Amino acid sequence: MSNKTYTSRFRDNKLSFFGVTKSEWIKFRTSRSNLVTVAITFLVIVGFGALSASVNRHRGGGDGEIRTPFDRITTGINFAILIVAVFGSRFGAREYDSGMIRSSFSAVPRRLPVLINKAIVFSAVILPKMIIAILVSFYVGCAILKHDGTVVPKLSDPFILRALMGYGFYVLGLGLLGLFIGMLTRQPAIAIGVTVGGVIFLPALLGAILPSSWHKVLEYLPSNAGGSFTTPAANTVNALSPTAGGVVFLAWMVGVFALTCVVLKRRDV
Amino acid sequence: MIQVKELTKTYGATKAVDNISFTVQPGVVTGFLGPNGAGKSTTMRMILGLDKPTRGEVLINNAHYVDSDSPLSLLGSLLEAKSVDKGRSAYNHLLAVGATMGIGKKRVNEVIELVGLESVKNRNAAKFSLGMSQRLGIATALLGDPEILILDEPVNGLDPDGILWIRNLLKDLAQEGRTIFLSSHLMSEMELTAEHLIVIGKGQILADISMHQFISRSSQNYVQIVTPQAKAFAGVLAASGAVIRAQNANSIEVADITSATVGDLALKNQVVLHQLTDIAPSLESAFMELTEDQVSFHGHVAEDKK
Repeated sequence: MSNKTYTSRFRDNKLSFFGVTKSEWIKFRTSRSNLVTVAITFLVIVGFGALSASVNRHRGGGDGEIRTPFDRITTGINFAILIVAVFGSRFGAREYDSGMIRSSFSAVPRRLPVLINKAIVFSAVILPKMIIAILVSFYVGCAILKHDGTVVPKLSDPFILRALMGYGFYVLGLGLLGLFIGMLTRQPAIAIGVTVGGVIFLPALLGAILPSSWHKVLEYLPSNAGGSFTTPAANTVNALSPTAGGVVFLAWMVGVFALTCVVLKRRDV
Repeated sequence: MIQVKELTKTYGATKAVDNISFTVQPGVVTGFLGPNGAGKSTTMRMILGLDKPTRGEVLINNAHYVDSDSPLSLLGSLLEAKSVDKGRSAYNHLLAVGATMGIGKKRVNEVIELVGLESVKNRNAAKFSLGMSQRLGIATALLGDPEILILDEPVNGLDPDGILWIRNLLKDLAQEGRTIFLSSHLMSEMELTAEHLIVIGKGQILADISMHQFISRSSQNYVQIVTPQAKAFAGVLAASGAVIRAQNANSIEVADITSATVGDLALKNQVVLHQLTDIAPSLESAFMELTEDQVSFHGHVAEDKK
């Protein structure tokens, strides 16, 4: 046995929060499916918005349901919500599913910077892209509707900008919820089931089967709270006020994030 | 240096690791041996902080790994289970891991070259063979030029060339004063690589000893004698207290006696010796002897027909 001990060349390289951000960004951009998903989401928002605007123009909304021009323009966003929620779930669970988590937590033994930076990178990519896509779909949709003589909303009309921005944050929020749930459940299929089923479909299902005395409670579910600030009106029937809805939605995010932190910190990898 | 202190891990009622303590010293390759289910991987995962001990603690160079401000330079690891996202290339995987503490392209290319993956570095890890994946794992472990290396079954899937390469690499790294701790099921490989051994069985430490001592203290040691006077000499040896293991017309295998004593006895009794050889057991037989009763999953071979 020799008595000397080795000193690493990289002893002076320190683990840093920014380093983990960079690491998560490399992980994000070097996985082709991530880039493809973001591009598809963008196209879906703009494409389905335009399609809905033009299809309804010819049909004249003959399906009996009254859809406002705003509803028609934002059709694509409702698809995008589903895509981003699934994307977030896969993005979070994939780290575990692939085994990468062992490399990640060996390099960052405190663990939480991995979660936080994953969320930061996800948000930094999704939010601007979604807001741009929503604005583009708004202008494209308005142009199509205007061509037909429909009175279209303007960005400066009351609540329109708030509703559009609300959609941007709502899409991001569900993606992040998916990401947290993905890291909690560790399996893509389960994460997608919980996020899409639990957050998006369950509230509608509960609304249909529970007696109306429960509807006050259902307003506090994430998707219903989200509905309150993505509707271009001062207040919506059977929903929280936009501000209260925003706070409730944020509270869900913070709650699930906190739970994920606790579990990640304690659980064996 | 790795110090494992009174480490325990229980899963429900099962004690996977039961109050074990040992120290892995720098400067030598230390082998970690044990039958399947003995607690090797669990112990290694606790050392890395991936699994939380039920009780006890592990110190890495006298501190907790979780508190390290430069983790990759302190400890590099390869676990038996894959730790790579297969949708990513080897190069990008290493770049992402290194970025956490500012290790960049230069070092990434260096370790890729070191493990011999230059020609496939931009290929998705999904298309890697077992041997290539293993080399990528080793590259990840070496990325931070770590002072301590923990390798679980590093030669898995490597070809003979790769096995020789890693054996020499680990010896060189230990020579530089690093702490090298590796597990392997391949006894012959371990015998050639490790200088010190820690043997675990059913969650407890069975031996913490140098390779040389481990093998030589085994009862499997014996002296092989070739002599035309085998029958007569066997009687002499037995009378001196040695144990005759086997004997035929011109050869004897005798235990509990040194070859020097055998030679002296032969001279004194005017016995002609054609051959006198010390036979040391392999690590494998020494290991089997130690862990006979410790194996969790026995393969039963005609044992029931008594």
